[in-house]
Amino acid sequence: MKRGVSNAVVLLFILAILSVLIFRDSFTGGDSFSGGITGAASSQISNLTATVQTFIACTWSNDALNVAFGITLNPGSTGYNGTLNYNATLGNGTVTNGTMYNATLDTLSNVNVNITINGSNLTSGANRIGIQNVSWASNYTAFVNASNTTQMTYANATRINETTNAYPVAVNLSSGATAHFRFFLDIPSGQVAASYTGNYTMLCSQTT
Amino acid sequence: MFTDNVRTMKKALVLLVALIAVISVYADVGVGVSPSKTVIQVEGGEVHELTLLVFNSGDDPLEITLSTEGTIGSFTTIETKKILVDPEPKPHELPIKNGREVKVRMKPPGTSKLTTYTGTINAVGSVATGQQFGGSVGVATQIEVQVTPSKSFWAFVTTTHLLIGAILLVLLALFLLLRRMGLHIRFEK
Repeated sequence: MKRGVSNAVVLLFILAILSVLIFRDSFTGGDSFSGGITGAASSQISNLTATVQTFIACTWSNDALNVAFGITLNPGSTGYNGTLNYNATLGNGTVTNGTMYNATLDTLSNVNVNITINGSNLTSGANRIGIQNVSWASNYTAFVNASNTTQMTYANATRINETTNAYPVAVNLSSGATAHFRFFLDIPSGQVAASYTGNYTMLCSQTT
Repeated sequence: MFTDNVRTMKKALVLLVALIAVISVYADVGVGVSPSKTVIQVEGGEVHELTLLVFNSGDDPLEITLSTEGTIGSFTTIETKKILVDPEPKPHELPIKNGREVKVRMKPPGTSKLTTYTGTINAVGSVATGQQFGGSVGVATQIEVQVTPSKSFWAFVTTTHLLIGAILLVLLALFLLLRRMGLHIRFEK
């Protein structure tokens, strides 16, 4: 009799543990998408609060997303210009030496932004040109005055990395402002002749 | 007379197609997000849901891909990772007309002390057409998650814990069953 009671107690204990495990989610809200209790009503006199939402929107010129460096590139040569580095066309059709590659912080934005860049190697089958052979120079970095476009040369260019570059393409860009930039390509010595393709990613994020 | 009209119409059609081609080639590409930065305080093991408004500040419809970056990645799930967003009418103005709301779910692990996780949720679009150096562009919303110590015991219980518990229960049940059948395990020196 005593032995039977002892077994029953053990079985009840096991059942209790199992039921707690099974109904655990009911007690805690488990993986429910809505989480716990929210929206509890409260009343307070004299405090008025208003939270204005932040917006960022960056717009790139179409040319900035389709960069070419030409078709006659020699191994061991450096500083090939993006084909539209010095080829801006004005509204009246006049071609200037301005760049067609640019990004604008839309006027919808109510915070300043930095624009960062990273990229992946240019490849052709098994052959590749390392992404660090591509570089950029812009008129909106921390060390270049926005109005000083003469700094946008190969001599002042920063190499692109696979990870986000420590130097943003644009620093503290304000609403409505445009950052202009140029791309340059080096071809390493002995590079196998082929048509290479690669890509880059530019991201706008709020200046911290 | 009729032939002349047909020719004129053909010329007009060719011009229209050329114009559309030129417009689409030179269309700007843009992405926007709101909010641009979020600081969340959540209890370890609890679920927090965040809604982002992603919109298109460019000229054409754009497929936007969402992804996470940083230490928030291990516990963050984005409900829809690819969305097609129509451009905002010009001139751009608030409120956003064609934006898409994206739900982001976060369930940080339980912790015994205040822990801060940081990262970004990136919304990136691309229209590169096989050029030598194609670009993808987008915006990153910054996320900071401050995880406070869990009040509930269950916040610390992981699937591994449950699995070990279940194995122990099975062993115990087996032991009791064997005992009922008259078999005994005895440890002797």
